[in-house]
Amino acid sequence: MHQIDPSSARLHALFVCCITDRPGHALAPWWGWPEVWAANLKRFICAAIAFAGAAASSTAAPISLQNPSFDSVFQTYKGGYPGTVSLAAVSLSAGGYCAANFGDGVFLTGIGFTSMWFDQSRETGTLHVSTYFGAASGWRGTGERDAVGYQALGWNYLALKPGASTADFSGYTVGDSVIDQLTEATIQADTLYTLSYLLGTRNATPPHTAGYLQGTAQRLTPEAASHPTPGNGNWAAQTLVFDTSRAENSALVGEPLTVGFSGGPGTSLLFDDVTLDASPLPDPSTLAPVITSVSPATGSTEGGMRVTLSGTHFLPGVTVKFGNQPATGVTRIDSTRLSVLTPAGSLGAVNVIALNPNTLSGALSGGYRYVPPAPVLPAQMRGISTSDTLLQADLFALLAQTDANVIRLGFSVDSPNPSPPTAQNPLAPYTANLATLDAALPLARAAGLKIVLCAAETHGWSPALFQGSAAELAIYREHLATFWTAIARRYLNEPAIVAYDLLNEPATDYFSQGAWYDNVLPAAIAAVRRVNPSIWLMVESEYWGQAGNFADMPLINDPYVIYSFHMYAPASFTSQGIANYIGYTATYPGPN
Amino acid sequence: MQTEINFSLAHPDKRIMVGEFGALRWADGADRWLNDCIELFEEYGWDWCNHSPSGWNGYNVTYSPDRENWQATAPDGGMRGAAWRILHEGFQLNGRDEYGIPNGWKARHFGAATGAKTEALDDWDADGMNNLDEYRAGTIPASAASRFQIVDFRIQSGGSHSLQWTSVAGKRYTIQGSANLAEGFADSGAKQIIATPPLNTHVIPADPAPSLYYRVVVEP
Repeated sequence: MHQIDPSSARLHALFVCCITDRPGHALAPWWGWPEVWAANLKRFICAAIAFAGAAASSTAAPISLQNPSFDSVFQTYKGGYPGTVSLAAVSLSAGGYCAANFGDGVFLTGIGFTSMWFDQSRETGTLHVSTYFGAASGWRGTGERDAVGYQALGWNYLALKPGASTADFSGYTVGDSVIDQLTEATIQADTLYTLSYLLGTRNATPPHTAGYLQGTAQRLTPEAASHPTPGNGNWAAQTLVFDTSRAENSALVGEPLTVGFSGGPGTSLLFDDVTLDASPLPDPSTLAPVITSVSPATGSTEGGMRVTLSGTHFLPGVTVKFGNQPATGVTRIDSTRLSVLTPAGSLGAVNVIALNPNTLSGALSGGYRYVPPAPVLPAQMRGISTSDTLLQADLFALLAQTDANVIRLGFSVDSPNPSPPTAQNPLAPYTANLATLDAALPLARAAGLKIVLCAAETHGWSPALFQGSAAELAIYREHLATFWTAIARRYLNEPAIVAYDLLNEPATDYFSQGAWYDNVLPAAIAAVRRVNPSIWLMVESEYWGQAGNFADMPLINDPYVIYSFHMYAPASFTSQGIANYIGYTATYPGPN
Repeated sequence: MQTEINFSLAHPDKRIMVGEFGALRWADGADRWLNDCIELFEEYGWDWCNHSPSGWNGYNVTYSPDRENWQATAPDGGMRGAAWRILHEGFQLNGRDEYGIPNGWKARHFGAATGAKTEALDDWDADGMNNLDEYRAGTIPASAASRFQIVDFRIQSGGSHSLQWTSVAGKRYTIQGSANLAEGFADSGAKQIIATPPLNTHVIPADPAPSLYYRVVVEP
């Protein structure tokens, strides 16, 4: 049983107005039925109020109230579209109605399907999924079908629409505003109300929907807050904080509390996952800071790294120590985040301590680890890219005629006939190429040339490694990690090698996105770091590392990372006459 | 490259390397493409590696751009084309002048590594700090508004002294003091002060007796 702390009564209500409850994903086109939301909204809020009211006299943790009619609501929606289509059920192989994840199997059961749309842009339905149906011919007919199997090839949301025309969205109107009353609750004194919800937008116009708290007639004034605007078709989490100790709000104490959402004319209300949290304002003199994390959690013994401390109760004037050394440049972002510069320190882990002006302190034991300084990179690196067998004296002779200061070295298994790796010698497949590299290192040192060693076609690599099974990818991931751990050991004290480019041109595609960043890359980073905590790591972007794919590049939680891409655009120009570009004769600059 | 530019602007502290870039030497305009790429990389301060003056002759600008002759197997030493010269000039940005200022730093701020007012002891922006001092301090040599200076000094109640100066990320500072200018400056004990841009503030305690004169030194 859940119980509620009367001093911290929380009200959680789930509003289901769209088929997803996942932030950051596109909305499906059910935005257009405000009257349905309004009805459901009212029901949920009433349910939530009744719950909170009943529990207000008992004590303990927050509760979460789920919409009890979630499933049936969607059945209604799905069956309620104008036209003759009748959809009996939608199921996902992964379960759940809403989130047809990338690659999930989606099964529709019903009759009267004439065409079907996967709708990313929602309003125009520009993505006609019939293109992607495995059995297109049988599927596009107008006859009745009992069940249709469909694989969601990357779009997250499923929209079913009768008729074959993109213009056939009539009958879906957009509401202007919805306000619902929470008449059973009253505004409490000296209380912090936190209203959180997901805000959606359905067109390029900034959303006008906003949540608010209101008394009898007047709205509470929120604290200044940033309100991230969701991109078109996406959700963004919004949080509004209302402090009833503020003069302009204290006048409303005791009035009935309303939670409302308003939309401007012509906008639809798109919100979900609404939570209202009421907690008494704490007494600042009793607050001890709590540090929950430090990011990045490692850095150079030289100090001077900017790191973010997360936690709670960081009061204005808070100071920070790493071990015994005070951090400088302390910037209090808010009560939960501090940005500080690390002091110099000794190798190893230290406690991170925050001290509030009220003399209360909190420590994160071993919260920061000092590692050796990274190799000093040239202020800017300008050089060449080449590969293992070509690292010969003639190349150094050529570069000696220039001011080039770096060689990026693609490194692969010996060719032909690499030896298989063994437990004793995981680098056996690279015997000849390592000999070439070892012979070249004195030349590189003498010339002041830095080497970025890049894993290219290493043991287990194949051109389609990201297109195979998860099990095959896991095997490659282990091979690559083994390679990096062994290389990091071998060259731990080699000054000429300054960075490891963890994988050349990660060959992910639309269907395997994330397989590099989320799967193989973390293992490769860990493989180097368990041996060498501070050599520079280089991370190429997905989609073969080609230019234009940095939108999804993750920020790696490590102080020594170089982010990398390859520039061959446009390929029809740079690669004309070879491979896929035979016959191309583009010139540069091109017509424009 | 818009996504890379966006990333670079959003995360100016992150290092970016163009690990490979290149065009087949017979592509009409390969030299201009190469030149434009390098200019763009330099504009954003990215590291770059050309692919490749080593290995297969297709992307190898040490070979002649002659399309008909593209299967040649030996570098055409005397016939290297404009693309090679462009690459060579790009590499020259790694060079430094006699005072140790990188050519690339000058090119980024002045548009070229050579020319009027680009020498180390010149003062391009006429703000009183010569180019060498701006390089050492990390300030912008082409902006008179960007210079290393003490902007505030005050004697606080209790007798401590508070100094404030313009600071640049990554630099460290030493405060030196003097009670008598004729005797010169000595370290005040405040060393290895990490930059907190755009300004650093440092308080020198009242005990022991603070100096009469101060100067802030950028540590090498």
